[in-house]
Amino acid sequence: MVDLNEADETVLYIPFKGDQQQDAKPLEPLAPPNLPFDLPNGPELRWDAYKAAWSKCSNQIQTLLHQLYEPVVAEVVEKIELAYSGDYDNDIPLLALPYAEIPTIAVANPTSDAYFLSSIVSQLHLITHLYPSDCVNLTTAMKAIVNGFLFASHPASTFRSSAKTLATYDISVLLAWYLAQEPETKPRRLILLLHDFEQFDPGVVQDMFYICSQHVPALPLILLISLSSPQSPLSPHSYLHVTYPLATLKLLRIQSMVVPSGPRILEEVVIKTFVNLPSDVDLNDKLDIVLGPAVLEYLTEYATQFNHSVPALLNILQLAHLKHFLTNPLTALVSLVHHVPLTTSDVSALNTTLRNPASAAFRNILTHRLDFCRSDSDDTNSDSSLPALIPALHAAHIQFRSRSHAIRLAFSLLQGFHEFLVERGYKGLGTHWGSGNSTTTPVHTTISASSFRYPQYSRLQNYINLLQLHTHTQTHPRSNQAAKDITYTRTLLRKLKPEELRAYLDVLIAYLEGMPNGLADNLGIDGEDQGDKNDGNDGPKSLSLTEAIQMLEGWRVEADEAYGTYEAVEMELDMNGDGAEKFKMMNEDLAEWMYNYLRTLTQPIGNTPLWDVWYTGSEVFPSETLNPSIRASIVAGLLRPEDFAAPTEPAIAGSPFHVRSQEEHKTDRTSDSESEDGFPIHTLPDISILFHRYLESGKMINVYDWFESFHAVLNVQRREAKAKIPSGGEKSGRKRKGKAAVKNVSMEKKGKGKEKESPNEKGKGNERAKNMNSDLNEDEDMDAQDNPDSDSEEHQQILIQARFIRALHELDFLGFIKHTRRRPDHVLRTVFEVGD
Amino acid sequence: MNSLNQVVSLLELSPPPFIFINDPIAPKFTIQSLLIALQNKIRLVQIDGISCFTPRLLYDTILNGLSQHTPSWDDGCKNWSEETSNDSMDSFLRALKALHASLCAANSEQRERLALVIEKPERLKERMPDLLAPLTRLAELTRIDLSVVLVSEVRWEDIRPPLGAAIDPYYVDIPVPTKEIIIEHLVKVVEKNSSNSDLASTSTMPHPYDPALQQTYKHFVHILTDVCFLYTNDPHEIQYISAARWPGFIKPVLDAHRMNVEAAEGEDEVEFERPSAEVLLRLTRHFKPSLSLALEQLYPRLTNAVDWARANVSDAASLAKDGLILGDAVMDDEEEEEDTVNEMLLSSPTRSRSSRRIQEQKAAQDLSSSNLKDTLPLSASLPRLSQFILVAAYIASVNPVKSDLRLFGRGADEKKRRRRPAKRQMANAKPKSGSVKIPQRFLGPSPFPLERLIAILGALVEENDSNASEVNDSRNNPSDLLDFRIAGERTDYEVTRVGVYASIAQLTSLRLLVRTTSADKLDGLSAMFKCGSGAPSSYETILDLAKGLGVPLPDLIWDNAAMG
Repeated sequence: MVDLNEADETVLYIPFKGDQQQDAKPLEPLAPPNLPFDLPNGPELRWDAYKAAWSKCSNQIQTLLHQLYEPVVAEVVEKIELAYSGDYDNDIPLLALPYAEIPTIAVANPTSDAYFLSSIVSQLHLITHLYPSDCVNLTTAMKAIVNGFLFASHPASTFRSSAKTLATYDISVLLAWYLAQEPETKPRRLILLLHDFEQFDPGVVQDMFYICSQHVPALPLILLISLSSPQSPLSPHSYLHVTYPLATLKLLRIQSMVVPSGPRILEEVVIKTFVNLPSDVDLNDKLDIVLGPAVLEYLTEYATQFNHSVPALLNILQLAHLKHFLTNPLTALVSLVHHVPLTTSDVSALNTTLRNPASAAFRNILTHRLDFCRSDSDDTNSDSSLPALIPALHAAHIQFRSRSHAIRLAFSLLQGFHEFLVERGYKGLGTHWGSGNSTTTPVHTTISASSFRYPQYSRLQNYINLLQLHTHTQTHPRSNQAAKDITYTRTLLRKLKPEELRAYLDVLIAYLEGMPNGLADNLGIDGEDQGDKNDGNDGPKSLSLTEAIQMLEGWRVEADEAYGTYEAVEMELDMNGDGAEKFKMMNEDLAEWMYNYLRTLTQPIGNTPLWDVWYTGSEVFPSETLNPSIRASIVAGLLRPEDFAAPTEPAIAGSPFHVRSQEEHKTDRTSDSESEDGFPIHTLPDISILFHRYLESGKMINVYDWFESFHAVLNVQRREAKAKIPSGGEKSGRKRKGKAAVKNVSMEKKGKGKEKESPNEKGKGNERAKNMNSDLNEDEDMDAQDNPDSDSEEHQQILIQARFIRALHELDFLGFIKHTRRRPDHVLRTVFEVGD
Repeated sequence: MNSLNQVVSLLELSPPPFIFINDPIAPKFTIQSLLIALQNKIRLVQIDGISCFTPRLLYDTILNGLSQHTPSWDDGCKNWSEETSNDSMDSFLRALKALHASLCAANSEQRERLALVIEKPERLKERMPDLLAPLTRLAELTRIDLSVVLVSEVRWEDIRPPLGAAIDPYYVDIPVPTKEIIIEHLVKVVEKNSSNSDLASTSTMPHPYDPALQQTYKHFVHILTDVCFLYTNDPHEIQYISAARWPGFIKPVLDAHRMNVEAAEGEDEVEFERPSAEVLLRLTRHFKPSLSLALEQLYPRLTNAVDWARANVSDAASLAKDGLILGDAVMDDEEEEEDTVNEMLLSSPTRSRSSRRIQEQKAAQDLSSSNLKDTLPLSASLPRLSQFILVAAYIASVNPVKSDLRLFGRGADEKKRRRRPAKRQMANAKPKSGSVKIPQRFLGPSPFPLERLIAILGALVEENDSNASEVNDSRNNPSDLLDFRIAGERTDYEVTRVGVYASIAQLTSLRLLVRTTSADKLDGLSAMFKCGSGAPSSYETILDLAKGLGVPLPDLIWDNAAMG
């Protein structure tokens, strides 16, 4: 399992373990590993919590998306249903068309979300699905169409062709079938759904469309084309217009639909899921964990740079969830402590879990954490025995919830104020809060706000700024933006004109009153805890919404009264009346209140006890797991496999880079055949040995030389292995010899073909292999003097050769080798180190 | 139509066994006219080279068509012939003879003459080159009264089987349709439609194809043909545009009549009269700008006729402006509207009519392009890196390989980075002998290997992506843990990420990039790509993208003069 804490771990080394894996059963899904301080059943608890949390999150996003799709789906279905009845509708009869066109609905569906098409399909009947693989040529395509409709109408109805009947791929079969249908049950339309339209062979599709068009409208065919290009299917640069000739386009009556997608949709989904306040009255938050700024920031970065599709979003979120639950033992609490007031069964479950002696460590860390947080707010509650612990946990959870809601409330207050100003034609809080008609302006204009890193996701960025308001002010200067925004809000509030002030009060009160009751109460609870420790701010002591509303109501009444006099005063063109003065005061009051309220609301989430149970905070997102740099990772893996092998991995025969004795290590250090990181080259896996030699060679590699050097290294390896089996003084001598061999055969940098290797003579591969064999035999002769057991020696040689070929092929598969026709005994390097 | 009439008479009287009609403009139209002219005179079947893509289909279609046999589902889609007739040319000929015999037997008083009209014979040549020669000699092979007519856009010389296997045809060349022919055709269409029973029965109100409107229609068609003839002379195309525009054109007249009828409240029949010359002039003036607009949008099929007609119904205000709220019983509010419009017009007497018309045209354009509004520029619909990849792909496609090092090479000798000075096209330059070098823009995008794309991408990102460097600064990026000492190493790391390859694959599946090597070939040459046709290989689109990214594209194009 990938260690999500290791941010730069990108290569996994799966050692070769013989063929025992081939008949092994597929592994059971592993429970996550135990962590320090874990509960006895912690891994299972956390795994279950992860599954629950993730499915909630994923469901929420899917539901939102489907809501976005719904109108488009409805429109497509309507267009299909009207395709053959629409010609005579209302007052535009178009009778004089030169020929019948095939009604075609081209849907640009850039996300290729299967849900979209399936929800269309579910509302229609008699659909034949055509996939690019069905249409390799015209015969198969037509066959697929004919059989598709026959099968779709009745699974049992097939057409058997003989020499005296029509061919199965003849569209006349379909026509005959259609004519034979009973008038009452006759399908009114036959829908041909072409998936992944870009992948079809245009030549085949052209002919297919032509044939179909010859039988329209006798055969009420409708084409439904699913394109994945983001462009509208009817723009002159669209795939349809670029790829297909006019002659084909003329056969179709194309109507286009665009499925919502792209940055705007992505941002909307994210904001609605994670930022907007829940609308439920019971405040039973739909999501279990709250995403921190780090994850959201990576999300925006990835969406801007690489992919703004929803599947990519889901991937990132799932990984964030996974990491959260796999790396923090406390997250087991997510499944133990619920939002709703604890029921007795919950309490007892929690009780038994915590009472378990094995969970002492967990309990300790919990009490420690709670004490720590409590000590600076409330000293009376320091009793940390178990009965007190459970309510404390619950309280911590509620406190966390309300804190996270508070920040979101701050966001929506700012957003609301900005929108209020924009509506009145002002600039509002700045372009990064979105310009007035943000939905229609092209992105180029918003890029002018180039000080923002992700112009397409400015709203999300604003939220991230709020989350980071009190953290990283030094390291992350840009996060000051949120503080600036809040201050600027105060400035703007002071400058509101009287009628605007009244209007804003109306809007604000209406908004706050629209908040669900539960939220208001929750914020109140939080206020009791947090209100006191507003450092230095002499702001509102309570965050309670009800109080805020009461206060605002009072102001509104005041404002209404004052406005009456103000108006009267203004009529008389006397600006010095005390109405204006009064409004100035009220502006000041409101601005100060808002400023302090926002400051209080945006207290960092990290201040609550046990925040890290439900909040991913600034934990770095494991981006290298999702989006590694392939070449760098593979090269690193090949050069230093020991860094990537699990330390607990048992020693592997043949490539023993297990932990060796210190002494051994020291002696090896003197060797020059050692890789830079201290492991002698002969301790590496075969492929790494080859790769080290590969990097030492020139642009072309002579395969025979390569083999020779490999052979030499393996000889050393063998001797080492033999020396392990104690055999006295023989060891040192052999070793030295082996080293020498390594030194000699290690390839030269400019190694072109060696003297006896003339490719012109040997030519083909098998000859080369023969040649290699004979060379091996020579080698073997030499070795045979050392070792009388020549039979096993021969076996050994074959083994070495096999290992070489295997490693060579592995490199070949990884793309490190390019073959040339000209010199079959040489291969070309494809990868060069920067230094080369 | 002379030549076509000739063919018709020939086929009626004494047909040559093989006629080749070459019509480069509108073969479909020619065939339709031919079929209509020969209806009920001789027994003929029309087939086309696309639908009959196997010999079996060809034989079946010909035999069933000539025998007028419709295969029925209930008896298993049996063909006309009881014998197996579709497995070879021989059995086909036998069946054809049998068919002729049975037809002759059925009505003995006159000899049955058969004709085969084949559309797009060039496709038959592609698919079944062996069949073309026997088809031309069908009369000879079967010894029956049969004539084969090929109608094609290409010339016989380009289809003719080699070695003189086919007999020489009777050549007929159809001239380019003249305005008169087109108008005649369009008028015929409306005549046919005016007698359409469907329309007449649906309502007592006159419909756009009412016989009373024929003169008006003729007038309309004249104007339309004048507008369109410069661009297309396919009668079907002009008919298509006319079908989209005519109902909207005549709608004010019909509405006026309807209002009159309503005003009369059915007491006495209001005679439907064709509009007066003055009304016609007003209509013409009002709708003329929309004709060229229709041509612009409908001819390349940027939208379809139905939708276009729906989107381009003139609204009351603009009609009123041109005095086209007709009828005696004008509603009060409309009168008011007209008044205000008149006032408006009076208040700005200096405004010339032409400028107003331009505005109207613009308004019409806006209206009709409303369904094109959802067109996103590539810059908005693609992630940043994909945009970079497209720019890099464009550069790789138009620049020669040798230029890469000069344009992107950095390091020791910075001086090298210069484009070749534009020394080409000197006024009196002697034309070079040997092959002329064709500018890359005429050759289209050239393929490039994946590695080159990645390398150029790296250079672009390194120098132009301020975002990436900011991202690199952020503490969120774990690649910070890695140590990049050499300049450009980090970019190298960034551009070999999985996401980059995924983006390339994604662009390929969108056909914005095209992979020229087969996907299942791992060994040997590396994958080659080129820019897809259309947007990704158009200089303007890429320039737009590059501007958004801050890439100085013109500086990075080797042969800049050719891009002009």
